[in-house]
Order: sequence, then C-alpha cells, then structure tokens
Amino acid sequence: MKIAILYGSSHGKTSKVVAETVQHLNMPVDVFDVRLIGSSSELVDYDLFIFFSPTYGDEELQSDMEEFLLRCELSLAGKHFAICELGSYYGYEDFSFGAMRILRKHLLQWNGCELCEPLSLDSFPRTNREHLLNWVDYLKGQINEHFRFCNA
Amino acid sequence: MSTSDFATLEKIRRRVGRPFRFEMDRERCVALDLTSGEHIWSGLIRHHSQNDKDEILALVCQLDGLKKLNLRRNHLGRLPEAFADLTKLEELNLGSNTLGIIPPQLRGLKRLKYLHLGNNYITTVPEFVSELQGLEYFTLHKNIRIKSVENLAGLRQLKHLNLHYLNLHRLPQFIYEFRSLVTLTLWNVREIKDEIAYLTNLEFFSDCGCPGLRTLPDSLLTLRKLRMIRLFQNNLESLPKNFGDLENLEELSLYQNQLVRLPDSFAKLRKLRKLNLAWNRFRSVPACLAQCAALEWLAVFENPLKHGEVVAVPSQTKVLKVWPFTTLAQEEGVK
Repeated sequence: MKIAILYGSSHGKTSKVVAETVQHLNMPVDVFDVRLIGSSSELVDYDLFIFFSPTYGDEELQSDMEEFLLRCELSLAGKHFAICELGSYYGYEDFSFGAMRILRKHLLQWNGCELCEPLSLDSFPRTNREHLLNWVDYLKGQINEHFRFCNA
Repeated sequence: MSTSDFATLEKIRRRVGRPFRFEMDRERCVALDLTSGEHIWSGLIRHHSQNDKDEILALVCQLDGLKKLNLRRNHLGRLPEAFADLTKLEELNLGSNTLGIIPPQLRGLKRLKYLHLGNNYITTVPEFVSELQGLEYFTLHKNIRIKSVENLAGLRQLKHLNLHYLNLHRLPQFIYEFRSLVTLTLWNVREIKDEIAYLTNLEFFSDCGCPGLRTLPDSLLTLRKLRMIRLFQNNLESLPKNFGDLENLEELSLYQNQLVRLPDSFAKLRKLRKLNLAWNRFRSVPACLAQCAALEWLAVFENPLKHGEVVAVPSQTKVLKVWPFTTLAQEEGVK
C-alpha cells in the first residue's frame, strides 16, 4: 500500500502542518507540493491520497490546488482519499471552510472512495495542533483497519 | 431596445457556456447573475480566458438597464471602461475578482445601494467612494492591504459595513457617527471607544482577531438592540459586569479568548440561543447559564474543564465539549 500526501501552500503554514502529520503518522509516505506535479502519471502507483489545502477568500481553494485540480485529472477507481482543509473558524455551528467541499467533489467525481471523516482545522491565526494530532491518530487507525482488511 | 437585450443575453449565454439567472422587466434585462450554487467554483466564468472574460463583460455593459449584477468569484481582474455605462445599478457584487483597485468606473454609479468588494487585492479606498452616498450595504472585507478607510467618511446612510480583515488597527472616529449602522464588522481594532454608544441601531457587531483587545467599554452595554456579537480570537480576560443588560442578545461568540468566568448578569440573557465559550480558560461551565432559558447551542471545547462535571444548562441545549473534525457528517453523511 502506497500513500501520497498532496498539498498546496501559499505562505508555508500548510506545509508545516503536512510535516507534522508525516511525523505523527509514522508510516512511509511520499509528499508532493501540487505546484510541482507535472502530470497525473506521477501518481498512478498510489493507493491512498491525503490532501491538505487551505481555504482562501470566499470559501475558495488555495490557488495551486485549484490549478492542480483543473490541470491533472486523477483516475481514482479502487483508490482512497482523505482530506484536511485549513482555515479560520467563525464561531458557530459551521466548522467547515470551503476547500474541502471543492476537493471532495472532484475526488468523488474521479471515482475515489473517501477513507474517513475529513478534518477542518482551525489554523488562523493559531493552529489547533491537538485537533490535528487527534485526526492523524484517527486517520492512522482507519488506514490500519482498512488496508489490513484489504490485505487479509 | 427589447430585442437587443434578448440578443445580448443570448450572446452572453453562448460565451458563458452554462445557464445563468437573469430577470427581465418587460423587455429590459434588470438583473444578471454570473454565479451559481450548483457550479462547484460558483463563478461561472472563473476559468474562462481573460479574453473571453473581457468579451463577456463588454456584452454585459450593453445591458444598460441592469439594476442588479452579481459577478462574485469570477477572478475577473479588471472591468472595461464601458462598465461606467451601467448607471442604473443598485446592487453590484464584485467579490473575489482579484481586483487591485476599486475600479474608477464605479464613480458614476450613484444609485448603488449595495456594493460588495470583498476578497480582492485592493490597497486603497479612493476619494470618489465618498460620493456613493446612496450606499446602504458596503463590504470591503479581506482586502488586507487596505490601511485606511478615511474616504468612507461621506457614507452616512450606511446600514451594513464590513471591514473584516483589513489592516486598520484603529477605527476612524467618523464611523461612530454612522447612526444608521445595523451591522458593523471589524477585525483587529484594538480600542472600542465609548462613542460606540452612539450607534444605537446596531444589531450585529464583530471585532475579532485582535490580541490587544482585553476589555470592552461599559458603553457597549447601552446598545440594547444588539442581537449578535462576535468577539472571537481576541485576548479578552473579562466581560463588563453588567453584560446581561444586552437583553436582546441571541448569539455570542467568545471563542479563543482568555476568559475564566462570566459575569453573573449573564443569567439575564433570556433570548440567548447560541454561545461559544470554546478555547478559553474556563475550569467549569458557568452556573449562570442554567438561567439562559432559550440557550440551544453551547460550545465549551478546548477549555480546561474538570473531567466528568455535570453541566447545568437548559434541557434543550446542545453542548459541544469536543471539537468535531468537521460538520460534513451532520450535513450529508460521510461516504
């Protein structure tokens, strides 16, 4: 089972969150800045894709990630994905920011299967590190459970 | 000319490539909306080439009977000179359009009541904006390079003003004179002056993202029409003793402050439906909340609460002690 982490980062915060995730996940993963991905052929060998993207502006996607979705259509049949969106929480019941909704729509359209509940991480101005690590633990559990079952 | 508007709309339709909403008054097009909630990117021409966008906008400018125009989330970058011909516009949404300036073509649009310029790259507010004196709703939010809004001084009819995520730090004195304001949204404004009491029509007030904001003036408590207050991501250490005087308050977000207790007067907030106390320093859920009879939603996650404490709140109150990963599961179920 091969895992790819794909992220878009404008000012470095998302790449730091990705680095922390990789460390806490403690599994072999390959990390891609989507800005540097030439074509979807670079990603054909992976079984699980974990996306990280901040929300900008008016519930919009980070620009590199938006450009990536328009440029590289992935064939995700039989493959899984998970999403962490970053943003600023506004204080009431809506904990989502917008990037996840756009990412998710594309990944489902490309026939991907969502592995687990996504994360909307409050990252501005302070990053909720504990919340991130809780999700990474949950993600790790889902990976172990699902892929152990697949390999049995 | 009636046929002309229909013909223009047909040309726009061909270039947009997707259905869009418009409204006719007899044979004149009076409203046009180049966004759609069914389109994942929302802006229907967001990913068109700059040339296509210019052509579509040139056609839009021929619809000179337009009263409402929504171009939000289209990354237009610029407006044609002929945009100045849309003199009948009353509502204009130019949010999320990568605009570096407030377009000078807006100068003559004296009938504007609603203007949305949020989420752009605007750096200054030019003088002519003060001439748009019919404006009742104006949002400039998320234009972080704007350091001054002095040229809004003439807009005394404003009812709704959104200055969220601008680089202001202080609120210009003239805004305290905008007596018609119903909504005032600020960000990182360190000092709320006593003159806030002049804004007697205020129903919605926000000042967030300000590490320097530690206390609130007592004069805020005279604004008895206030229904919603957002004060998240500040450094508030306490609230005024008589905070409960805001008896019409329905929603209050105090998320991410330094609060350890609420004043007892909170018990007087009988209309309070939503309260966010998350990411503060509460060691227990304040007892006064038991008397907030209308409370439906209470967030207390990310506080050092004692484990296993019984929370005394009205029976219908949904209490969030743990931060959910997302609201997606509640909305539609995770596949």
